[in-house]
Formats: sequence, structure tokens, C-alpha cells
Amino acid sequence: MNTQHILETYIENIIQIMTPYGTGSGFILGNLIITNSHVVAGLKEVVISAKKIKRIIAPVIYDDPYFDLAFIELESLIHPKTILQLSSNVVSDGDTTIAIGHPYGLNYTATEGIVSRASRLQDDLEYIQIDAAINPGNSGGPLLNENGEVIGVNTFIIENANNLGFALPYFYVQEALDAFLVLKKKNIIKCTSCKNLVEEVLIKNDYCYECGVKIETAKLRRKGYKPTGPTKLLEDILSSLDVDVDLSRRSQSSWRIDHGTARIEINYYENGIIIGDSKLCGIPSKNIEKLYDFLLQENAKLSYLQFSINENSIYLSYLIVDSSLTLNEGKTAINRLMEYSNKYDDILIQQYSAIKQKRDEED
Amino acid sequence: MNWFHFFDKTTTTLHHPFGRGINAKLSEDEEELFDKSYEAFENKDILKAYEYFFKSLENFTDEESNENTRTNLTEDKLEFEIFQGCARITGYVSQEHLYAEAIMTKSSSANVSLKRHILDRNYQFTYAYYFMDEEYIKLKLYHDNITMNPQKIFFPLREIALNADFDKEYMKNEFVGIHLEDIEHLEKVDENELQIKYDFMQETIKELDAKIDTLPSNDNDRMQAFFLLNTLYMLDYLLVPKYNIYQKSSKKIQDYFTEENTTMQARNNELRIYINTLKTMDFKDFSSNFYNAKYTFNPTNKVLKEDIDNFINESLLKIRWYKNNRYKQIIPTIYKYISFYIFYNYGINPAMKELLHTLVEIQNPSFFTSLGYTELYNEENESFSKKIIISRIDKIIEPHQTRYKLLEAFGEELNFSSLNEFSNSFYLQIQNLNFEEI
Repeated sequence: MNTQHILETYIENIIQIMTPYGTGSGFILGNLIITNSHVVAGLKEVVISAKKIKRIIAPVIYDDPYFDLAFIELESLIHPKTILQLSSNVVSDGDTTIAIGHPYGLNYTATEGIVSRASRLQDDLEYIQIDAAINPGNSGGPLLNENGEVIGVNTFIIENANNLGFALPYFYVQEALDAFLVLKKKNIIKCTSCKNLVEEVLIKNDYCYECGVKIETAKLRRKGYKPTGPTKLLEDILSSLDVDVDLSRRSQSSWRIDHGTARIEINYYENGIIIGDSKLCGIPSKNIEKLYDFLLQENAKLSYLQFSINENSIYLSYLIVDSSLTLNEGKTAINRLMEYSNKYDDILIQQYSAIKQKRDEED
Repeated sequence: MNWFHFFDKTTTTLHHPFGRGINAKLSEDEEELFDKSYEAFENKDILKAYEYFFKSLENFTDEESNENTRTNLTEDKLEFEIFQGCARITGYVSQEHLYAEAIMTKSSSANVSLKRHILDRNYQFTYAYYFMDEEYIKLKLYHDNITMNPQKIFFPLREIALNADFDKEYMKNEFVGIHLEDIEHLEKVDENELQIKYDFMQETIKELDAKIDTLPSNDNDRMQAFFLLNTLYMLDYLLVPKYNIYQKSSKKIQDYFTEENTTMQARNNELRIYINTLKTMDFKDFSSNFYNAKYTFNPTNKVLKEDIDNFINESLLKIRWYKNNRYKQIIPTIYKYISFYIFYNYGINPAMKELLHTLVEIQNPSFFTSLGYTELYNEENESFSKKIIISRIDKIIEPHQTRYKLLEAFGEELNFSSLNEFSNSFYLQIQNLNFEEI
């Protein structure tokens, strides 16, 4: 099978995983989503999406920082047309590989390469070294052979080096799966010291009850993600507007809300400015001045919000400095931004022939 | 009072704007008024808080208020005006919010390009934005007072004031037929002053052409760049042109430093072509680019003393290189360039500003004497008015010594043997100034 064919065949198995700390990839194997431990970032829950899965919250039920593996429970019954299988064939130098993932958030990117070295020792683990151009965001995604079998999990790259990627081989994945499945329990952590699988519910003060070391993953899972300061206030505002904050959060400082036909992006910048933007539509090719008149006249009536144009797109925006944000004002302003964006994009398209925004369906 | 102050009256009796700042002194009570404003905000006495705040922005010339901010307190409202060049910001403060606006032009006179321009500008602003009512295009600002304090309101008001001023000039220059509204507060510049400025510009450009002719025929791009940029910075600081000249000069300077894909030779050529258009400009045309106005905010952002020291250091190293390689013709220009560059690009504290301005006066005596200022350097016999210069430096430093305990006057340390040596020693002394607050 060629790369394009493999991507099309297995695309439904490929998962995008999002946490406040970043995004990564994963893939369906049986009733689990396999990814890297560093992708789930020590959280008990992550946001996942796939071709057939709208953004949902999914629990991380196995976290193994030693192998850099994590398993996410696939609660909804997703049955990809063609399921992925873990390979059992020996990988050899020179084998063709295909890495699939979401590098830099570019969804479903397949990158072809070859095995530079089938067994490269890093600390005490073997990795498959590949020359495929994998990038941040590919982490946790599958490395496939020409038959479409999973030969590894794309795990790390050497930064600032061209095409030096490393995948955790299939046999470690199989070993971890076997050890986990036999327990028939959820919320299992592998201790990086004694390598035993421990049950989270039995862990006290983050200490491994087998060898007595502090388990960092246990601590991170216990603490969870807790926003503070203006970030917390912003999330409180969104919650008060019935926005599912966990699903709308794109990072620690950005949120995306789809409201009706409008999409609102909220970003909190390091300089303290909070910008809520809705890119409504593109400017039309005819009667443009009438549209400008409308936007400028509406600006006279609006409070908190304003129309502007950037790179031929019309925006409705709300800007505020973090220290000036209050619950009431923020609630009024963001609510208006959501409602008015949903209203104005239709007005602009229907009455002024403005051009509807194109959106990546999985974005 | 120092005895020599008696001979140097011009600093207090003549008033010409130089550079792009407010060209005036802030109130001596500025810090106290700001603190009072802060306290009143804390006590939710909002109108009083704003009244103190606007008072803290007031600036003075020879102890007299320039009335660059005005307020009128009624029972439940504080109305205000802020002047910034050709912009007049008017508005009111209630217990709940602040509203401010600047009238730009008539809605009926705006064409499609201007409307697109202001919608694009809206995307760049943080606090203010353009709108259009039946009569005018206006820039407006609305802010809740819930969490307000003087630090927080400073930046929104600065944004609306600076941008209303800049955009008004931009609109007049860029969009043909645009008539600016609400500019009755602008004052005409005296005809004699305009003539002095025009003559100076012509003379400067003539000298520039002559200087460029003295350069070696090849490998002279960097030196040409110093001559050309220095001319533009100098005309900007000394003449303070508005409208077309200001807009075009600013654009040329900006392009010079941002167009990285063109050669220095090509960029120099662009500057030279532009400077030639100034040379051919007639007096009437030239005069239409000037007005006097009140200013409330400085357009440049404050920088650390260290940044200025570094810039001086780098420039002095360049001078040394040119000296060692026997390109003496460029050296006086770089000494001038240092001050003009700092004025153009950096927000500097008042003491530093006055000191560098004194150096500019010394380096450009003919311009200042023609405006009526005391001669500080005689070009013909290459002599300095040493005592006046030393006294001037004392006078500048003295009021700041209460705040900066380690700040010392340095007039006696200067080298008066030649203008180049003088400039060099002056910059070294500037680097030695200690603005630490103890």
C-alpha cells in the first residue's frame, strides 16, 4: 500500500489529543487509545477528537512514564472501518515506514520514511530510528509498516536535527498492553523505579507502595490542571455562560467556542491583553463600501465590541486588559460576542454578500 | 542663582518646539497628584480621582499651564478635554464609566480607502476604535470604572490621543480632499520662524550634497547613510514639521530600516530622492506643513539609561573606526547623529533630554542663533561660550539632584579644544550620569 492509501485506510483510527499544555497524537487499538505518556502530561482526563469523534473528554486509565506510553479509555463505541493491528514482524534497517499524526496541529499528516536503525538504544530501551520528518504533535501517533501494521509509537525527535525521529517499538507496546489488561483495572501507573504497575487508588502521598519512591505521575494526576488568576476568571466567565470549558480550552491561554454559525477565539497574551475575536467572514467583491459603512455605523452602537478588518476578513472583537477584567463585565462582553457573532455573520453574508469563512472540518 | 545664568536668558524666554515630545514641563506636583488620584480611586471617589489624574497630565511652560488638559466637574459628571497635536479628545467620566472621542473628519467626505483604512486600524488598537455617525468619523474609547486606577487609564487615553493625532495627519496626507475637523485649536507658526526653518532646510540639503561629493567614489554606502539619515532626523527634531513632511519622512526612515531585501545603496538612493523633493519644495508648500499645538503624551516609549549608553558606545566605536581609517569627513555628522537618533527613537527622562538638547544647540549654532538663542559655539573662530555651557549644565542637573542623589553636573569635565572633542567628552559624561534613586 502506498502512503496515501494507508492514510485513507486507517484515518479513522488516528486520534488528536489535547491538553492545556499542548497537543499530540494517538491511535485506536482495540478498546483503547494508545499515545505517549508525555502527551497526556500527567492528567487524568484529556480532550480527544477524530474523524468520527467530535471533541470529547476521555479518561487516561494507564500512565507509563518509563515506556512513555499512556492508554486512554475509548468510552464511545467507535468502530473504525479498518482496524489497526500491532505488528509482530521484526523491523529491519531500510524498511519503509509511515508516520501519521497531527504535527503542529496539522491534522492527519502522513510522512513517509525509512528505518535508519531498527534498534537504537536510548538509556535502557530500544527505539526504532527513522528518517521521516516527524515534528511536535506527531508524538503518540502510530508508525506503520508498508502493510499498515503498527510497528511503533512515535515518541521523540532530536531537536534542531533534520529527520531524526524515534519510535517506541511494537513489542514494548504489546508488553505494556498485556501487563495492563491482565489486571482488569483502571487508573494504573507504572513506577519508574521498580517498574511495577500500581493502582492509583492505593497510592498514599504519591509514594509507590512497592518500592517507596515518590511517583511524579501520581502527584500530577492528583493535582490536575488548575488555572489561576485571570485565566481562572476567564474560565469562570465561560462556565457561567454554559460553555464547556474543558472542551473549549486549546491551551493554558487560549479557548475556542463554536456558537451557532460563529467561532470565537479567546487568547490571553503575555502582555496582559485578553482578546476575544470572531472572524466572521471575508469581504465581498461588490458593494464593499456599503459594507464598510454598515460596520462603522454598527461600531457607533456597540459597546464592549468592535468591528475591524484584518487581512480581508471581518472581525468582531472584545479586548480587555487582564487587570480590568471582572466577572460581570466579562460575562456581558463575552456573551455579547457570542450572540452578536452568530447574528452578524448571517447579516454580513445575506445582506452584504460577504464570503463565508472556510474551516477545516476536523479543526 | 549662578551668575552666568544672567547671560543665558533664552532658555526661559523663547519657546520653540523641538522633537516629538510634549516640549513642556510636567507639574511639580505630578507624582503627588497621581498618588491622590490612586487614593481617590481606592475610595471609589471616581470623579475626584479622574480630576487629580487629568491634573497630573497638565504641562507647563515657564510655570504657566499650557492647558493641555481641561476639566469641568458637575454634580454627577466630569467633562474633560485633552489636547494632542491636531487631535482634541473630549469626553466625560461618570461614576460607572469613561467615554472619550476624537472627531476626525466628516463622514460624507470619507472615501472607500479611508473607510477601509480605519477598519484596518481598528484591528491594531487595544482600547480605542473608529466608528461613523451621521456627521463624523470618530475614534472612541469606552472604559468601565470598576477596577480603575490611574495606571490603568493612562494607556487607553494615551492610545486614543496619540493615534487620533497621528491618524488625522495621515488622513490629510494620504487621502486627497479630506478636510480635517475639530482643528480650531491649532495655531499658525510665525512667518519669520517659518522662513528661518525653510532657509535652514535648504542650507542643510545644500551642505548634504556637498558632503556626499567629498566621499570616496566607492565603498561609501555606510557614510552616505549617516549623512542622509542624520539630515532627516535633524530636520525632524529642529523644524518639527507636520502633515506631509512628517508623514513622508517617517515613512522613509521606517522603510530604510525595515526593507532588508534591498541594498544599502538602493535605500540611500530612496532617501536622497526624497530629500531632493524637499529641496525643490517652495516656501508656500513648506509652510503648509507647520502648526503649533499642545501635547499631553510623549509618543516614544521610555527606555533604560543602559540602552542609551549602549547606543552611544556603539556609535563612538564607529567614530573610532572612521578616525583610524582616515574618513574624517563623516565624524562631525556621527556626533550629531547620536543625539538626533536618540531623540527620534527613545523616550528619555527630562534631564537627559535637556542635556542632549544643549549639545544639539552647540553643534548647530547657526540655526539656534537665527531663532534668537544665545550663541554657544562660534563656528567661524571655533570657540565655545564655555561659562554659559557649564552654567547651563549646572542648571539642568540641579533640580534633579534631590531625586537622583548621585547625579552630578559635568561642565568642568568637558573638553573644549574642538567641536569633535567636545561632543566626544559630552557623550562620555552622559554615559557617566547616575540616575539611580537612592
